[in-house]
Amino acid sequence: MKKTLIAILAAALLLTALTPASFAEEGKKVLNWFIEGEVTTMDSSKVYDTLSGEAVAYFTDTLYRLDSEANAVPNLAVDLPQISEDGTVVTVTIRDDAKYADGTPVTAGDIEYAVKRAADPAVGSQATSLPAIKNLDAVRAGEAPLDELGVKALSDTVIEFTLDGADPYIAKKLADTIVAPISRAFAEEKGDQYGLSADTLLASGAYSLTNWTGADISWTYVKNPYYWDAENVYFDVINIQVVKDVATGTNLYESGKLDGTFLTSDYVPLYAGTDDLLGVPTLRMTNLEMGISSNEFLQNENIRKALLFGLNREELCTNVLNGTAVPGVGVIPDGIATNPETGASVAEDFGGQVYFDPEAAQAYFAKGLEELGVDSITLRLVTSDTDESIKIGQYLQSAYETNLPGLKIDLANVPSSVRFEEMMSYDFDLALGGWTGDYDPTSYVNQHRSDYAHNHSQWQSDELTALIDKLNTEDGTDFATRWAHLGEANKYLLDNAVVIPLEQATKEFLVNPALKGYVTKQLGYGVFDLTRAYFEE
Amino acid sequence: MNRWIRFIATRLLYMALTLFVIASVTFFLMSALPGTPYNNQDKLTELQLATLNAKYGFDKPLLVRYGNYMRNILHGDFGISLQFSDQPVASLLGSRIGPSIQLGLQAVVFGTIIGTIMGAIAAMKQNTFVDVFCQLFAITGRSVPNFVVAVILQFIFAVTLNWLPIGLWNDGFRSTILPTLALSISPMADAARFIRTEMVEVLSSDYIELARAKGMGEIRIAFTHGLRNALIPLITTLGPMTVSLMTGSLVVENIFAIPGIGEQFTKSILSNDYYTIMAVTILYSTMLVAVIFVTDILYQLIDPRVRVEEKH
Repeated sequence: MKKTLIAILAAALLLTALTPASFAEEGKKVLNWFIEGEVTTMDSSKVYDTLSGEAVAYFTDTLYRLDSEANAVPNLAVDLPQISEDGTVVTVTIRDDAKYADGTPVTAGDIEYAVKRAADPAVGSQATSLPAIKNLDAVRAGEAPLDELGVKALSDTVIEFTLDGADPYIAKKLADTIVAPISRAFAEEKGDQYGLSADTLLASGAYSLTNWTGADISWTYVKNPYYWDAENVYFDVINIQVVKDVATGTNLYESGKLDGTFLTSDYVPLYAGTDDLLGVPTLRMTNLEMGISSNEFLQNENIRKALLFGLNREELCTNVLNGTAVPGVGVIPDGIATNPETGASVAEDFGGQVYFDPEAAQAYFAKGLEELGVDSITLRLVTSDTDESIKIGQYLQSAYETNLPGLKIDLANVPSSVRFEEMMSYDFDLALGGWTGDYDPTSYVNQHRSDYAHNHSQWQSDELTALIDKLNTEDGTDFATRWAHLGEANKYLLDNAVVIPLEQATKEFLVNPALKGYVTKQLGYGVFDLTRAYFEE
Repeated sequence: MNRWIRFIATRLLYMALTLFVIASVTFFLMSALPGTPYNNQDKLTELQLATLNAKYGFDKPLLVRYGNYMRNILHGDFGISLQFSDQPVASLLGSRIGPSIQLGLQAVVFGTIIGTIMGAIAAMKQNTFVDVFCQLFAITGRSVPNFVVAVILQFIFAVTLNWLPIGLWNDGFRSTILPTLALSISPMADAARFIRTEMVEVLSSDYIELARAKGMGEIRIAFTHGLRNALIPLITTLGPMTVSLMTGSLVVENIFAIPGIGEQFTKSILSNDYYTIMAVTILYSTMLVAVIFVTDILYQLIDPRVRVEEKH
């Protein structure tokens, strides 16, 4: 008995001693980076989540890359896309010196293959990021052959996409890895094993994937020597570690084991003022929504304007949210798109309409009360019962009751499904809501369109509906007019105080201050593009 | 010898039957889960959903799917994961079960040995300061969740003293020490509690009095006579605990960034990952059934009262 026990113990200890230790890569430039969870796939045709999108981008060369202002810049493509008069035919020329990690050339035919693969019902991709290519739905349903999909390589370097309609954001959507080349020869050789492990993937991008077998929590990217821009790729090795626990991440970062990690809002104050803290704005707008159709006080424009101007958003973002948000500049979040002619941001072109002005707010409020013939009003504010929503709700209650004497706010913190149901039944006073879109700013104004299900306030306006119709149709090819119309829709919603923008959330990270040259993104999947990052020496 | 063969053969037959029933019940229960197994279901169009269902055969009648699944697992094919797009479930679990089993075994072995020693000492020094300390430890260890212990250990030994790695699975045995300690608190507390209670009883029984009267030393009495009898109830609880520790702890694995299986257990159910749920359930039940089998054999060795009867 005793001997067996000792034997088992010894075996267990021996087993652990045999676990391979990490080897140091001498003389190589190494970055130790993090990711917040396992990837669901490394197959660029199947990516549908942020983490996989970020992981795949290291070894997949896209036609365009997004810069930090969210502009599409040519990458594998030599120039911006050529777009036909009606906007439906998009032609892209790719560089002729691009190679895969095995030295074979990248061709436009491989892009055609990749796009068809993503639409192929036999592949069964859950991805939704393909642009609206002609016959996409029919091909996915198996009703049309793959050859009828609106993508075609005209030569080894020219690829043509045929779209259902004009798409002002097509260049940005072509920056997605789903339209990046997949070596047809390689993929067909691997068959249904393609993409299931590092061995069955062939890199077209700056790095090659290694040490990944399907569900790992760490893997490695090594520099692809055949990459056309290899001379601008600094790191030889990027080690990726899955970190799910924020405390573990910060401990690893502090001890120098990681060059970056993510933070949650309660950790942000610990790093306030350090060079390590990095905030990246997201496209999540948090708004105070009003049940205009169900509450007679809120049908008064002066009361709504009092709510719009009676709030110090700076204080909310800094003191309540620990700097994990920036004040909302309007209905459309900053960073989602830029002026197609001047490159000006949303904040620059559409900003200045949302601000804190206590005197004006009080004057609006007094006027509103007078028009309504009451001395005071009480509004019920419904929020979700998450920590952050409760904090924001309490702040709104105290700020409004202080800034607008005569206003009383009752708080209701409920499960988010209950809040959602109240908003969707259009029967509420005030609700802490929000909107998250992607690429096209239209969705933020479309939320308030008269006949839209998510028009929680039930605000009815032919003027706004007409503007949105233009955005969705004739503005598809006239980008400057489209931008102007977006501005008009934004202004309309603020002039009438249909919704009260509060804040635009940011994601917080710790990043080694010596790391430069990386790009943070708000659009598409993932936050960091590290392919051209380097350490300042 | 003959009785042993019959005993083992019957038990194996029952084990197979048990597993079959568990697999079947799980399959039908799982099929009743609301929602789809596609993580991206909110954004998928009806058309995409239909295409995917056809690809994976979820459009077929339930009984046909059941038949296919059962036939496949008999051929060793556990299907593919939908959570990790199209990865074979077997290799997925295979690649992550190792660290969990290792940590679980280390924790059980270490925890039980230390716990047994503590319990034995406590029983021998009944109602003294040592006893109170051991009991206090056992109660605390049983009530404090292991992830709290994990965070405290990480803070003291890795962050502050810098003796051991904060986490990650790349430093050989050193990587396993803190998670093993965190996981071993619960078996340690259980062992200490059980052994003390049993030994207090055993040490006051007549045959121990006899041993004392014969002039046997206290330590020898405790460890040769007392402990053997006190071990029986411990073995009963040890089996299931070993299995639950070997199948990983979600939180402890996340805290130490360990590539274990803990998360698959919960995440597969939350995301309706049908074949992973099935594989994980079958794996867990197989381990449990096997451990109960081993426990029964250990009983035979330790306690003569439950020995298989030799029939003449």
